[in-house]
Amino acid sequence: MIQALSYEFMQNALWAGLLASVACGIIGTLVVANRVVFLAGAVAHAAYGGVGLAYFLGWPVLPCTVGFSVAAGGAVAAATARSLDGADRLIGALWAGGMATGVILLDLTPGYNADLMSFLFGSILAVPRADLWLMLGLDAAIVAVTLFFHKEFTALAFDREFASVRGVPVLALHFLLLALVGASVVMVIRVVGLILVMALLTIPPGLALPASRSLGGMMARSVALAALFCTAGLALSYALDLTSGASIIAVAVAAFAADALRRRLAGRRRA
Amino acid sequence: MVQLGKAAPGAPVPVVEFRGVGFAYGPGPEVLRDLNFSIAAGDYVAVLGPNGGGKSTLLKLILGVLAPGRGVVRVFGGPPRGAARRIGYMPQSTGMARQLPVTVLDVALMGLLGATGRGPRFTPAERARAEAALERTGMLELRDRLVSDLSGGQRQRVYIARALVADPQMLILDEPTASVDAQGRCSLLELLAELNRDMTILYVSHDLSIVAGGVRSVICVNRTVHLHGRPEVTRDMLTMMYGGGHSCPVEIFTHGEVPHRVVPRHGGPDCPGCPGCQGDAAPGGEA
Repeated sequence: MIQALSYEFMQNALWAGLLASVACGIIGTLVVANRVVFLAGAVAHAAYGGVGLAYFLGWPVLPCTVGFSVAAGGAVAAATARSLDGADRLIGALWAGGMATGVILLDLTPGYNADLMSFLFGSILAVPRADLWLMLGLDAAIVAVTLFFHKEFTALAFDREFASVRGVPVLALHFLLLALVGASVVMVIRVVGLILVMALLTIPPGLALPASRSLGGMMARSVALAALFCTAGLALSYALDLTSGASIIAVAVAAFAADALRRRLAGRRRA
Repeated sequence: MVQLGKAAPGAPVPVVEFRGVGFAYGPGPEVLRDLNFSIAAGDYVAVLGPNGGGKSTLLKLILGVLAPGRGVVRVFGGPPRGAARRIGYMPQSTGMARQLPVTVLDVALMGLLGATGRGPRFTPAERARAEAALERTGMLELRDRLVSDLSGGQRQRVYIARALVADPQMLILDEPTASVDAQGRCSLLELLAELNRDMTILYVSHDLSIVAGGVRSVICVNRTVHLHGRPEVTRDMLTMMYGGGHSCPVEIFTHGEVPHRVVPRHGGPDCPGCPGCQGDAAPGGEA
């Protein structure tokens, strides 16, 4: 197992998993606390349009996809700025529309036979060094923004109406949150793929929530859990020769199920 | 600036002043019209009216969240937006506790937003202010508890502390007793009567019985507004709020010092023979 780390692609994979975990834990916490999980899902799937666009135009994939999904986040934020009512209809359209755009753009790209599977299920074993630096930069930006607006984000999650009366720019924060979602899902897509991104974004905060006493604590726990799932999943995939993204999610879901079972038993014992 | 108050020089500026205000959402019909009233400093006003009568819209006009289509709204003698910092606001709560890792002290601190510095944490001075506000509403002991673990009445007290923490001159509460049991409601009304010594209070409710809970005047809201400078609900007010000739007899139980009922007509067939049945005026507050 240790010898696996002597391969550069394994080192890169581990780093990519850990860097994505930071974004996952922080943004996942904000997404869960603000109950915009399915808005995040729409942004994640729309990001595939960015992948197609990058190949079609011959641009670098990761930066182009980040730009595209941040823009998709902005569109979702604009559509849900007044209220979340009716958001599900938009999500349905954007969710599928983004993916369809990506597939069509890849079809139109001459001579390129895109490996669709690597985007759907992640390609953590093929992350180049340059992408790691970009992920590190995105993480730094996410941490800085979250620290800067920590009080405001807490108030936004807890009571949007009160925050707005106190002069907190709730609309701007709503846009900022979904833009951050856009930036982080791209990283997570790299690790576990488009189809599994929601699990890595929501399972760690879901597990962290009952044990946490502050939003910051919930973020820290979520980051640790996401890192644990990524590392364990990667090891499992290496040992058993399984798809890495799916292995990571399998570990996360197993932890989720174990936690639910433990809760159930604890509740029964108390009753 | 136009002199709106038309008050004698030296007279105190009203805390809230509406002059010829009308408001409509978008191109629709006006939900509020012909609003002309003012609230004096130190008043304790019950804002009553049926659901959909415009109570929440009226609040949003005072808080500066909405701008009037016609007329002028003044709060503390100036535009509402600039006065929002001097108002402690407690929004209507659904009674549902959201499961979020937020403690009682965290919630009280949120009342300082807009007046706090940058940085991820509140300063020790700010935490001391939040603790003082919690002390005032009797919630200091629970400061480290999660809000989601509190009872409905405790949570309302935390929200009042959050409204108090920035030392407001006016407190606006939107249906504060909606999710509180009878006992919690009584002690909440006691707390508000105490707070009224230091600040103006606007208490919004669709429950007419709060009139017996220590308020000084009553505002009825149903498309338009009537201010009544005494803590009572008259027959005219009932008619305005619930329509004239109601086939359904309106009967309100209130509990002031003496438990009593408010009925549309005294000595009439629908009056059960309440102690205040000698006069023409409907009994109210300290009947």
